[in-house]
Amino acid sequence: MARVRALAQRGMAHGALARRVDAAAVLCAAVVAVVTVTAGVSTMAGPRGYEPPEAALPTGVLALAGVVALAAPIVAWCVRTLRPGVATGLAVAAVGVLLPWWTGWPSVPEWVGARAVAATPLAVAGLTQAAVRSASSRASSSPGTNRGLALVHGLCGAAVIVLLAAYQPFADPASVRSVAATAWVLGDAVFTTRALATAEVLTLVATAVGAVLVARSRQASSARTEAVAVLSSLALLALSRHTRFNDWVRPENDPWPYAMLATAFVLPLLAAAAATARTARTRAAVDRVLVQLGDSRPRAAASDGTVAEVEVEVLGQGRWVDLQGRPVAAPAPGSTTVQLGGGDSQTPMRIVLGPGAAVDDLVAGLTPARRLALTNAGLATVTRAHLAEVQASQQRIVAGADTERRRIERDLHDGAQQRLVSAALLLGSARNRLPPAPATVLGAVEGQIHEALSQLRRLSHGTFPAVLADEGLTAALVELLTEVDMPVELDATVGDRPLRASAAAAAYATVDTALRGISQRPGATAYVSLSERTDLLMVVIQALGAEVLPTMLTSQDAADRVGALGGRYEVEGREGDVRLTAVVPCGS
Amino acid sequence: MRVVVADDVMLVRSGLARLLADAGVEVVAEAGDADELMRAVALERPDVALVDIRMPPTHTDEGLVAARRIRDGYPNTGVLLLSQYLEPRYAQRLLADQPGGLGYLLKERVSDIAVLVDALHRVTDGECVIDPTIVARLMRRRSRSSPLEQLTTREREILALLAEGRSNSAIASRLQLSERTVESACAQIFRKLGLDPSPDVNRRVLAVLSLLRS
Repeated sequence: MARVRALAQRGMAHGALARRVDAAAVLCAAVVAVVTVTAGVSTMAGPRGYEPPEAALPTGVLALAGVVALAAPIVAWCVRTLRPGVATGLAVAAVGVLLPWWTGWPSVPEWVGARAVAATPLAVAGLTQAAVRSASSRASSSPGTNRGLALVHGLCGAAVIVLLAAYQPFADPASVRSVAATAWVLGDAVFTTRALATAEVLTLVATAVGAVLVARSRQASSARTEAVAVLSSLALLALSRHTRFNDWVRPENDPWPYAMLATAFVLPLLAAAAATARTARTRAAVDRVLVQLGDSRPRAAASDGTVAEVEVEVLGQGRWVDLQGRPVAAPAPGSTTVQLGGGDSQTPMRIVLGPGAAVDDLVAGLTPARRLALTNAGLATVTRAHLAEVQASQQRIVAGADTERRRIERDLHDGAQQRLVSAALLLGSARNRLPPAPATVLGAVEGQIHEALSQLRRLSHGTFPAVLADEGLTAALVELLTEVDMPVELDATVGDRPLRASAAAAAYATVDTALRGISQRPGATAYVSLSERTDLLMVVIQALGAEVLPTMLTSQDAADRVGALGGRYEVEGREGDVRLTAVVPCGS
Repeated sequence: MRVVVADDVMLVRSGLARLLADAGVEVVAEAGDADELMRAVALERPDVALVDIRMPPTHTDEGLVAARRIRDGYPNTGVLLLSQYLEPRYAQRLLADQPGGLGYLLKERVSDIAVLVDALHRVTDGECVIDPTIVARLMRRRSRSSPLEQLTTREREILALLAEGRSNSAIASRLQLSERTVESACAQIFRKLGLDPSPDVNRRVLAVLSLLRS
């Protein structure tokens, strides 16, 4: 536990530090971007004797690149769901793209302008880092990826150092803008040509490694567009370096390398924007599902098809239901599902994605709060499913008991009772032929048989009231009331629609329990009310001047029958005023 | 008196037939179900049919349905229904329209051959016989709007005995009253139930009818 907490704290500390690094990098990039745009535009439009060919293209591209380079890291820093490092990567890339423009600008100190070109490899490092860290897949944060990123950073850093130390603008025929005469630490030893070639090779290798990393971190089909965009950008960066290297061989003042640099920066951002929009759409779909969770009405098909269905496993049974509790089949082969939960204490859930949605987007959209809401909904669904099963089982038990009672009643009628009747008939016949003395004895035997018959009759009627099945609840209640000694008023307003047998039996058992469960003192009266409202059968028995007998409170038959149907059963007994209420769901 | 006996249980059927034969009643046919009963009635035109209510195939109210058909198709044949159970609703269904020539007894009652033979005679005479237990049940059913509420306790007792199909003299001896008292009480009952003067048998049946309809 302590270890977990320490890890968590370290993780938080690391996160906070990374956020600060991000903030610093974004700030630097913002300064560079503002300076570049203001200084660059004024320089290019200005009269200071320098007029590059096709100036219109670089000016427009520069302005665009500057604005994008200013905005992109800030946006990345503000989007909290992106991992730390993305903003830093974008900031470094922005610096790498913007700084080379400073070369030769009169408003920039010459020694700075001369070294600014050395920043170009930073674009590769920054872009790779941003692309890899912004991917939501697991591969994007694996140790291998971290090592790869470190390698890219190292290669690009080395290229920057080589350029800083050995590149001499005067010796670079392509760099017509630079007029600085600077002394270079390694200038005499390495020469500008070699320095350029070395930096070129380092940057190309870094680009290749970065490309591999990006491709690995974005294997999901949905992220392919971004991957392609980033790979194209890296290719453009490499090409711009290569073009520049060629320029040295074939000197020509060409703005295309700069344009390529800017395009390389803008391209992945466009792809990232598209991806962000799609993620937002997936999150909105998840939110819609969450909003509908509390809604018991059948859900309309998801409007945009992002989330097709959310399904929960009923634990211990291996069957799946949707959030409305309806059983669902296994997902169609080829459909994409995201599994949630499934641990020791968690309910396994799966989200079936529509054709337009990506697993990574969905996973990114499942914030802890949303995940919790989904889990809660899943638990509620499973609970409801279990409850429904218990109720169904209870109903089966009641129905099974009724079938058995009916069979016993039929057996009594067809077996024991008929035999007793025929025995009585035979006795009667024999008695008529005998002299009075033995006939008296036979008469006594006959009396015993009659007593046995009447007991059997009471028994089998209590076992199952045939009138209930034959003529319905109202007729059965009318008959039931005639067996009670106290005056009972019956107010039955039940529609013509035949009630479900189980509901009728529950209502009958309720009245039966109530009327047999009160002691009838002289002057006691009872009132039985039966009414139906929207699939609910209300049974109210009120007895005045009567007392509840213990049997009524202990008898569970009626309560069980009502409970099996999901109804409500209540006994309120005060001195002289007993009230029993049952609300029985009777809809089909 | 010619009688057809219908009961799906052979033991009971033959027991009844023997008992009736002992008492000098001629049993012209025995039937195991409602179809056989209808054939026997059509063939023999008996004075009365002794019918079990529960018979195949459903064992619910086949006898009741057959009784209605016999009364509709053969007005000279009375029907005495036997039932294992106290089922006032069956009595009501059977007798509510036209109770004359019909009877309803608990099965166990018939081992007293005198009661059975008496009931058969009454049904043959166009009267109505209802088992005392069922009458007791019906009398207990109280409805404020019923004219029966106007009857005194003694008058209700007499009405119950009327419903059982007893004669004035039987009622008088049962209640230890003089026959005159019983006659005047009957007149009171008929008046309170709003029954016009008419032949005595009819009025008795109508009185029972108002009891059944309450």
